[in-house]
Order: sequence, then structure tokens, then C-alpha cells
Amino acid sequence: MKKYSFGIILLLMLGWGCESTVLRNAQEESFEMTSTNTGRNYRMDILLPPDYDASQTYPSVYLLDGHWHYLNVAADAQQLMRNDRIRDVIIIGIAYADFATNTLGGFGEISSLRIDDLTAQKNSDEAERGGDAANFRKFIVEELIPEIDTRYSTGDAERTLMGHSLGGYFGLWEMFNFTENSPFDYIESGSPALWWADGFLMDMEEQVANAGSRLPFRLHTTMGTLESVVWNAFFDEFEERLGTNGYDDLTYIFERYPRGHSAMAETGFKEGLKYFFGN
Amino acid sequence: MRFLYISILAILSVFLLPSVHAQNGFINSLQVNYHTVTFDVTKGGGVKLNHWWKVKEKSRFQSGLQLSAMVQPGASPNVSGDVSEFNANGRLLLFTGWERGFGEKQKWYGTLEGFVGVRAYYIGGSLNQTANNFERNFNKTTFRGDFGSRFGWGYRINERWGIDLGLTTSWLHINHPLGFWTGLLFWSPDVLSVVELGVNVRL
Repeated sequence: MKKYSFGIILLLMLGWGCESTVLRNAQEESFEMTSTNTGRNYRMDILLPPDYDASQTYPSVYLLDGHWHYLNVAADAQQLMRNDRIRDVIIIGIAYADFATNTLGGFGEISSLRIDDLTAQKNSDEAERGGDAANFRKFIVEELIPEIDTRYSTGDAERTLMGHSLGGYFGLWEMFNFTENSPFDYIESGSPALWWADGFLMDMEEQVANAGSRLPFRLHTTMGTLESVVWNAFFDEFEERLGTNGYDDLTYIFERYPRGHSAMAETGFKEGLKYFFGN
Repeated sequence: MRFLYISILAILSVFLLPSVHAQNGFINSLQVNYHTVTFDVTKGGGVKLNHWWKVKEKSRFQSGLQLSAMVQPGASPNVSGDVSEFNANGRLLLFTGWERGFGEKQKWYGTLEGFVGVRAYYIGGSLNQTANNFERNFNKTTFRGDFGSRFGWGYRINERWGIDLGLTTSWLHINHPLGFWTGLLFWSPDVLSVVELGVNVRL
């Protein structure tokens, strides 16, 4: 046994990607839905508050890219709720149902699908993927939200949309495209891909400002200082434009952390929960 | 919780290791490595000084201090206009682990070490974006703590010289579903996995 211990330790290290699928001592449920709008099969992972009471109404937090972020966000949310750092909320992680999140093949498949679902246009004319956000948004608004509101004690108030990277882009697109008609009140936009399609979201913001549209949202957005010049330059410019255009109904905060792109996600989500629901 | 583990490891390294029998001389081996990140995005070099705390017939229990520096291109998405960017990072890492010989003459050897340390990153440059008509400079130095593992495999040419291949992986983002592989797959300088190729000299 001693002879092989070196190799065994190495194999354990390389196999660290095996994820656990549930939290300990948490009230969790999951179910699948096949969307009539996108034709795709999604798995919803639900975290309920520690003392969930169906006679109360809770804010609902819709988490994009649940396949990658649900476990971290649910673990953080559970700890924050138990320690009374935030009010009780229900987390809904939206994941692709048919792919393993902890394999390289699954990672590749999910990466392609999310480009379709989370972007309103392709990154360039030559790009093969992207531009199906309208249908994915229909899935969330017309299929998922009614299902969640039927299954759980959630309501219209403080409905939150959380996303990172292209998910952060999707949240801002929701805000600028649907303005006061959006079912969401709070937007957590972590490391938003503002550069996508050559700054398309910046154009949208300008149009909204010129039209004098209302933006009745609370926005929490974050960027890692290790996320390269382009990401940070767009983020800085976006903050300045929001300030210059002065939206009366929009409450927002821009935060920066010493993180790279992938490590920024969990930090941003946790700070967003505290910003929106902190006691 | 991870910082608790790091603190415990650091305290153990400082207070317990000197109690183990040490070899003659403080620096027992020296590794000079070319550094590159998988997919060839980052390049640089490093020096690692090792002290052997305990030597057995086939294995050595050692600690090492590594200083390295790398430059890397920015993760610049395709946008209209001009982008200039310079990224560099330096690392000071403290390693502790084992080196073990294999084969009858122990010509082959492997190392398995854990590390704690600090990284300093510099990102600087500018974006002149034409589609939205703005120009921005961004310059930032960022410090981060780090911890992770190093696996090495080498061949000893003679008593003094060996050649090394190593993989140093940050575990900062180990909670990610892809775990160990995160540093290999994402362009994210704080979860770097660095391939090292160089020489191992016994002093």
C-alpha cells in the first residue's frame, strides 16, 4: 500500500472535480422542465429558507448558470440566512438538465448552450452561436416564474435576477430592454460582458436614456480588477454613463474586488445577496 | 474556512519543521524553471530553493521557497478600436512536501507538495473603443494570497543534475464544480495552473 501512496494521492488530487450535489442540512428540492420556447430541458435546484413557512411570502432569487453557481450561492445564502445576515429568500438555480457540470465534455456543451440562451445577439456576424435570449427570457417569465409561484410561497415583490459574465449581460439586457415592464425588481450583474457584440448594451443604455424611460430597479454589479483592461474599461465607462444620465428610479452600486473572472462570481453573488436582502 | 486551513499549515511549517532533523547546509537543492500556463497564454520563469528536512533511502521531506515572474496577454475580447494591454504577475510561494525516487537506481523521481504564498499582479493598458466612442485607461496592481499543490516528475542525469517537469495548481477556486480543472480551463490569473520545465540541481 505504501508503495502506491504517491500515486493514490495524485489521483485523488486530479479527481477533485467530483462535485457534491446537495448541501448538508438544507431544505432543497429540484425538478426539471422542458421549455416550449427554447425546446431545451432545464433543471431547477431550489433552496428554501431554513424555517420555510408556506403561509409567508418570500422573495425569489433566479440564478442563471445554476449548473456552475448554485452550490456556492446556496451554501452562502443558507449561511447568511442562518446567521440572520440576510432575510429569508428562496434561491432558484437554473441549470441545463442533460449535462454533467463536473466533466470537461459537459463544460463544453454548457458553454455553447449558455451563449445561445444568455445573449440577445451574436458576438459578431460570423459567430455560429448566440442570440436566443428572447426565447430564454420567455421561458423564465412565461413558464418558470408561474411554476415557481405555484409550487412555493413566492410573490411579485423583490423578485431578483442573478447572473455572472454572460449572465450579468442578460440581467442588464433585461433591465434596459423591458424597463418598467420587467417582472424583476433587483438585478445582480456580476462581471457583465458589456463588450459583447461590440458594446451593444451601451447602445441600449443610451437609447433608454434618450427615451427618458423609467428604470425601477436596484442594481448590484461587480467586476474583478484581474479581469483585463477591456472588461474593466467597459465597466468604468458604464458606471460613468449611468451616473451622467441620472435615472431617478434606479438605485445602483458598482463594486470592484481583487478577483479574476471565474473567482469573481461567488464573491459577487454573496455581496449581492447582502446588498438586496441584508438585515 | 480555507484560511483556517492555510493558517494551520503555515503555523505547522514554521514551528514543527525545524524540530525534524535537518541535513547539512540550508539549501540542499535548486530548481530553475521555465513557466508556462496551459494553452500557452503565460510565460515566465522561476527559481525554487529547497531545504531537506529529512532524508530516507528513497525519499526526502522538503520545504522550498519559490520566486517567479510571468507575463501574459490580456483576455481581450473582439471589440472595435484599439486595445493595448500588459499583464504580469509575480509569486512568492512556500512549498512543503515529499520527493521520492523510483526505479532500482532511483533515476526517476516524483514530488508532491502543497504551497501557500502571495501573488502580485499588474494589469495596465487602454481601450479606445470606436463603436461606443470612448477611451479608457486601466492600471491596477493587485495582491492576493494563494494556496495549492505542485506535482513534479523528473529524471536524474547524475548525482547533481536532474531535469524536472512540474504542474503548480492554485486551489483558490476549488469550490467550483470543475474543481482542480478550473485553473486549466479558465483565463483567470488568480486560479493559474502553471506548467514548469527546468533543471533540479543538488547542492
